[in-house]
Amino acid sequence: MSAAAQKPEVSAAAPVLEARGVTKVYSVSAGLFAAPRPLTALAGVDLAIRAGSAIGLVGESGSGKSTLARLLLGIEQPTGGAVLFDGKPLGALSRRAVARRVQPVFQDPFGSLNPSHGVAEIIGLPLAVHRVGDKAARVAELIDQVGLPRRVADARPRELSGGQRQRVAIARALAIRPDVLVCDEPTSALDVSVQAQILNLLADLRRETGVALLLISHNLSVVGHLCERVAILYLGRVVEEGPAADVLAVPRHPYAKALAASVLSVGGTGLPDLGLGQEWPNPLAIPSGCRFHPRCPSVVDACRETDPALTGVPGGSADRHTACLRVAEGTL
Amino acid sequence: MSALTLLDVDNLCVTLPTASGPLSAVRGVSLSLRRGETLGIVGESGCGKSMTALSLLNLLPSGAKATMSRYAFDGETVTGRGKRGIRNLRGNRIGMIFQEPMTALNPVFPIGSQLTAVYRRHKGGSEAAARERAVMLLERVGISNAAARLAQFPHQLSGGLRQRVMIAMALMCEPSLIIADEPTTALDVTIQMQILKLLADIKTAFGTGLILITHDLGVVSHVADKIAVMYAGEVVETGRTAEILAAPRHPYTVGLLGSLPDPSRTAPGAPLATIPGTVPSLIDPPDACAFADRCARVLPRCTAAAPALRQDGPGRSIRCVNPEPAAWVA
Amino acid sequence: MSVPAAQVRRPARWRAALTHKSLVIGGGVVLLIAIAAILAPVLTPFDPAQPDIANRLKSPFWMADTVPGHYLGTDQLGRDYLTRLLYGARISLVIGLVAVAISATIGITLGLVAGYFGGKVDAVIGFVITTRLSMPLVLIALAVVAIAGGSLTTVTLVIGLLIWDQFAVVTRTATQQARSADYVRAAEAMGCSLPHILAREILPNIMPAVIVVATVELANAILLEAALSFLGLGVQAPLPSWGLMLSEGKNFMFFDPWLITLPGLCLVTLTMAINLMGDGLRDALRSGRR
Repeated sequence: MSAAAQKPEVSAAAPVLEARGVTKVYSVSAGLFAAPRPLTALAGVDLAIRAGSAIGLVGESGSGKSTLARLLLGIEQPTGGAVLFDGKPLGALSRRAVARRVQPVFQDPFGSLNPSHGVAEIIGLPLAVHRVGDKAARVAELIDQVGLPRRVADARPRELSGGQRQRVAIARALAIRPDVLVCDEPTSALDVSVQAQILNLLADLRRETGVALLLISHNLSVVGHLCERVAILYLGRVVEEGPAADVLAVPRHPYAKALAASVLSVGGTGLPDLGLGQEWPNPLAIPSGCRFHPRCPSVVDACRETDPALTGVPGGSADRHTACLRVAEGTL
Repeated sequence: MSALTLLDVDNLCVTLPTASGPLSAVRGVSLSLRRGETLGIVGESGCGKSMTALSLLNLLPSGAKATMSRYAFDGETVTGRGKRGIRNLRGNRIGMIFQEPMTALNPVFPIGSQLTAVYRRHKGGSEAAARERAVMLLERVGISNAAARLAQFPHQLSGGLRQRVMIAMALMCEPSLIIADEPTTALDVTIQMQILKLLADIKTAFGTGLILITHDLGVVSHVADKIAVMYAGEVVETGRTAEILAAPRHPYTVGLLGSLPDPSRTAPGAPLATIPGTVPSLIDPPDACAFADRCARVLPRCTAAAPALRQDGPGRSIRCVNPEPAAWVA
Repeated sequence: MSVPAAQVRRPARWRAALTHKSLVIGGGVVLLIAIAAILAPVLTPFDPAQPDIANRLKSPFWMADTVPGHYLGTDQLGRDYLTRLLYGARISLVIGLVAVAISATIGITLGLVAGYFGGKVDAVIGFVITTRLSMPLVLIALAVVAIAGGSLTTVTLVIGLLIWDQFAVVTRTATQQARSADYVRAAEAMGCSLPHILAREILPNIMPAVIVVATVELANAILLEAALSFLGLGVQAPLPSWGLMLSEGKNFMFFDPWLITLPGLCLVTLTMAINLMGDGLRDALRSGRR
């Protein structure tokens, strides 16, 4: 009996996990005697994960996507805004309560499993911590569910391949039947043939258990394959958000366009010029106005002064938004 | 061998010592590359693609042994000239670009002195001349304010800029061949595009040959003229990139392509094709097709003897006795 | 890429064998001494503290002036020297092990806390460690024992409370590394308690480093005890400590040199064997982790 099936149907519309205007500022030490500098990892991000849905979060280094993951997991607290579970702020819930609702899957399956513990112990740990269920039976069930042979229960992580380790990590995350899995680049450390197995597994598990997925990735093909919605993050802001098929097929924000053009698919030839110049996003020095303007091929003067808000796309579907002045005024 | 042939390597084998015996990481790989041509070597972890590249420059980990029946560079035989022969090629006529520039650039020296040191070791000349060339190349690879950048240390540059510096360093001695081992894997996708474009521009401008080692079939598709698909230390399929990717014949190549998510080909959420099983151990490999255990088209003779790489149409070779029918895409 | 690191490692069989050997030889000698110390009452019929004035300063068995039964001779009070060396091993090992247990507890706790929390906590603990490192070990031990008076308990406590610095330094560094590992983040996201994270997730992974420090500190503690006892500020007569025996024997070193060479040899053998064992352990643990 899966957790999602026990929930009433009405919850499908309301977000189970939501970031509302979330900001996160770190202070970075600049040496012994210098004042610490602020690093704005997230600057007002809204993101809603609905029960049983899959949403992709795409961005490059410095976009703040991993910071957002840590905030949604409750490992770190936002400096502004709020993370809500079923509409209740994260602060009102205990760490353990948060842990039962949302679990992580990390990128590197070699670092995410404790090398000192056996596989059964790793998968069973959440059950022991939360004192739920018949541990031995549930561990066996999870091992079957993620498609591992039963005998791995006695193995140590170092005896497993990368794909097997990632299956163990997924089994551990599912152990206490969370509502949301936050997967941070779950396949980018794996070979392509293994990546396909893990993507299939995530799709199957979603169907079987009704768990919602937040898939953080730099790979638009992976996001397009697994997710209904996608949000594109640039320097701590969502710059484009909407149905994955629409956004990937017809991106509107210049950065989303550049990302889509960067997808090198098999069968394609030649290399388009992205026109991004040599600037790179530095969260320690966020540009004035639109934070993408130094790299934007479609920049106009207004972009250097006005910081665009995330608004509806003229002529686009109602659930699609961009943060671009020129898209908003209809000139792009 | 035509006069245009830049690199010709025959029957390259690399053996690595391990606790459980010698591991045959590369098993009889033959490569040839013409001037100005790009060869993409693709395969998954452990297939021997990096070992192949490193053995061309004698940069294998200590204890590893490489043998080849022929190694000719630019018409001259390198085999038999020993380490000195390869050492003279390295950094001089063959430039190398690694995946992680931070490990290849020395963190305690400014980039300027690292660039000029390579040049002066092979070409001699004054420091001033070497600096002039370094500035010219940094500008060529798209680094603004190049003269000032010479004094900067590697950690002061972003990942994309460091990779550009690596490329400039590989170009210092006007090499005829660049070997790039996963040059963009550690980079963001927009930066990857810029770096690949840069490599393509350089190839056109200088007529440099390029060997691109990657796990990313998409990169190869966009960049390489020829492709060599490696599996378990062997080339299993090779030919013109467009032909191989449009109509793969080896079951491994077919499986690899089928496992890629591509919203334009596969329906979102639909199961992706996977390759069952795992790569065989290369410690004491059996005398059989290395892919036989995982292959849906396996025949009794696949496990009886190791198949040889054979001609499969013009400019195309395959190591399979029962390949996919040629017209499967049509 | 391509090949797991373990497979690319050099063959160097002789080195692997030597690694194995140093662990076997060192561990073997330590074990032998420990067994001899435990079985001392069985191995010898004499009381280590019972004087026998009639048989003072008899020589060991290979010399002329020897008495049957006293294989390694007797000391200036006629006590059997072999018996005293065996019981001395007990003192050395007990003080060493207890002192290391105390120091390991202090050092590992401080190191885990400093490494896990970082920031201000780390700065404060770092300062404490630096302070401890800046104090001369023997002088502090001497001063404390001189004030508090020498006894087995005092000496053990003083040594245990002084030699935790290496444990703290090593644990702190190893914890800082383990702290950023994703398995720790996974445990945090699971709602694990802080003691669980420190003891079950981090500690097992830093144990190899800690075990190596423990062997070094064990040898260190044994030498420190011998030094204090030699100076008369450690274990008090008539208890048979090797350091004390060295001190008592030095008055007779010209005519009966075995009185100082034998305990000296014991000390050197034990500390060398412990260090050898530590080297072997380090290599064995390092290769075992691959």
